[in-house]
Amino acid sequence: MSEKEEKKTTTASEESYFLIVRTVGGQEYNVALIMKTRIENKNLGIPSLIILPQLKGLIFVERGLPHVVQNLISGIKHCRGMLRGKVPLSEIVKAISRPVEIHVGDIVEIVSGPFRGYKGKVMDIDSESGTVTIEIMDAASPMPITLRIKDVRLLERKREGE
Amino acid sequence: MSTSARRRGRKRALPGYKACRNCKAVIPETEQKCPYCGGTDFSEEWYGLIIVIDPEKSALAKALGITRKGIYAIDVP
Repeated sequence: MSEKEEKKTTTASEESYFLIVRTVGGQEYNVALIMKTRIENKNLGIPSLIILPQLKGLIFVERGLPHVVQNLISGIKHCRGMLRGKVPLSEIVKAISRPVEIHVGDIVEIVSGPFRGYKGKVMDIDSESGTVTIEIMDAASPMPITLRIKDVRLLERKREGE
Repeated sequence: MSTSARRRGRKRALPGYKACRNCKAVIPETEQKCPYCGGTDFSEEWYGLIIVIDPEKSALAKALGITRKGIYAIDVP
């Protein structure tokens, strides 16, 4: 990639912003799928849509012009118009990438694999390889097993003084 | 809705769709194999959605390392 092209890409990335579309709470997924179909059919030049799980009833539209987005959502059931303002890309990326919130001593539930549904206590965390060693609580004898961090879900934080 | 989702009181994001635990792609429940990574480990509980229509023009897709168009979940517990 030439220097000029590289500069152009960086500028586009820095300037990226998101417009916000408001929907009825719980209907954002259905509205987003309708919007996707319309964007593809009409070739509106909107590269992506995003719904954040922590913000109910909001759809973020990447680099859309306000009048184009207004046109896009007109007539969609459960759509409640646009919010004023723009959200920068950095804020969206920050909201998506959550840090690992598991610590030694926490109680976790296994969500995948043969031990799915079992509860266990975290004995060790290897953040480099992304694995966690847990001891299953209901087992007759203590049995440490190693799993991927994404295969466990935090249930209870370690109590103070333990 | 799965038993654990009902127990925690969280509603399923989009009934009829499941997410691949490996690549987080959201696909219809009728599919047996993930068309993106070939994985067979799916979750019916998933939250958040990223719809990539044009990965080359999308700054978000570039920031997250998504190279193929499609629908992806954000949180697959």
